Amino acid sequence: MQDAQTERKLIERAGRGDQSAFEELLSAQEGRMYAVALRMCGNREDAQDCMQEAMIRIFRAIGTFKGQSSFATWVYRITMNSCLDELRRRKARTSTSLDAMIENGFAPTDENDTPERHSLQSEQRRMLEKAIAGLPEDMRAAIVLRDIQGCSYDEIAQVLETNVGTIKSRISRGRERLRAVLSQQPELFGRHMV
Amino acid sequence: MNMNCTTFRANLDAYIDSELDKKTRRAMEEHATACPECGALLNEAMDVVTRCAELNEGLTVPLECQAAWRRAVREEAEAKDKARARRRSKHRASRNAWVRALSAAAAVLVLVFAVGTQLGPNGLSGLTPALKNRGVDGGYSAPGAAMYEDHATPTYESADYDMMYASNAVTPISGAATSGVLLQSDGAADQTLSTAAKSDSGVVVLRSANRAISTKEFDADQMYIDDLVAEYEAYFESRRVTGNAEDANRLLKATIRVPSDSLDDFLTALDLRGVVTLREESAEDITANYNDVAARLEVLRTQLAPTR
Ligand SMILES: [Zn+2]
Repeated sequence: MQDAQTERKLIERAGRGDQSAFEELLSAQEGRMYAVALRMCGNREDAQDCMQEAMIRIFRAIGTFKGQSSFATWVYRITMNSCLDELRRRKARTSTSLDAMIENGFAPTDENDTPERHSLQSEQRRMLEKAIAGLPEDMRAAIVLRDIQGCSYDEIAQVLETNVGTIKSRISRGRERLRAVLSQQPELFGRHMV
Repeated sequence: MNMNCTTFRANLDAYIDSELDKKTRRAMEEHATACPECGALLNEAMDVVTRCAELNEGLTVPLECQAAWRRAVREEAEAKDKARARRRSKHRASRNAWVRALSAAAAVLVLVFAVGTQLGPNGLSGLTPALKNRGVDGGYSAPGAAMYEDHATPTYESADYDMMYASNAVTPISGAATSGVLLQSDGAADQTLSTAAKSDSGVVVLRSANRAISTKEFDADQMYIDDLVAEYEAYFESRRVTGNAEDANRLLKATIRVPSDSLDDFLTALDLRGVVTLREESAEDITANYNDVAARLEVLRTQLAPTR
């Protein structure tokens, strides 16, 4: 993680077209960008495309970043927008809904965990990822930013360009849906159920 | 607070997010202990949130992905350098063409005047913009419109900004682009952008984009747009600010023309400001119109030749 001063200097250099400064600056952001893209898109290929698209948008616009929000928030906002654009394109391309994809066994999982694929823990994780991927986009975006990325309500409101009240209600409804989906898997999530 | 099952459920997410004051927090915990149903709900809710928080554990950006974005950015940087060089040389070429067009217009006037048509002193200036709008200069073309409105009281929630948007008729030109911006402040800005470009197949397509943007920082965002216009070698076709800061109803209405190469970049940069409340894009085949203008221009040039 870069300290604030390093970040500021890199932003300035990147804004003047310094490409190595840009890469250094964004290396500190790529982890969270990828995480958001992966949860929003539900698969690695689209996540990679969205992240790449977001990087190019950031590169084009870095000279216009004036610190009106934190840099991380600004990066989240562009990343999220490029994911939402991708989801819209996907919707236009095919009538296959994510629900239908999930019905057909599609699961947005990270194949890196192959060795423990059959463990209970990874099965629970897979179910949760599936449930998140099945949320409506606006709820998914709010849940991803709050419960996976740990952003504050204010930050999420800035990223999604709406107000805190709306964010709270999306988070609340999103969590309720996740509980409903997961409670249908009592063998995996039953330990607290009555 | 009188804690019952209903208030417990209403406060559940605030509790999970540590948004409650100490007293309410304690009341929630007491209720969860006393009421098995709410206790189970709390456990379940905490379980889901905890698992979500653990999802990123061990998650790494695939090496392929790390390499891909760096490669893409380097390519973008190179393309940007090339485009800049290309724009610079095109700029020079279009200036020369414009000078030619101007002298053509002047020559036509002289001709007309010679046959006795009464032309006022405005004759020349009247004709010039018309020619320019038809893209005779080959540099810039179709107009869009832009407005910027200022709502001084920064309340995002009650966003009933009366946004106005006006888009002008567009005339197409090869290799040219236009854009309009409608910007409204303290919440709202609106833009229209359009581009006309002639492809190798001879089809002239005019692209238009409309944006309505709310902004709380009218002055800053107005400056931002000025910067963008300079950066992308665009220019204001028209520009007018109405309303006043005290009443928070300022509206910037402007028509901006953007070189077609830069329209996408321009839009991307524009969208980063304020809250975009309207986003429309369209493409129109204006080949016939374009060819018509080009043909008439050719006729004018032919008529002109003997007078030289
Ligand atoms: Zn209860």
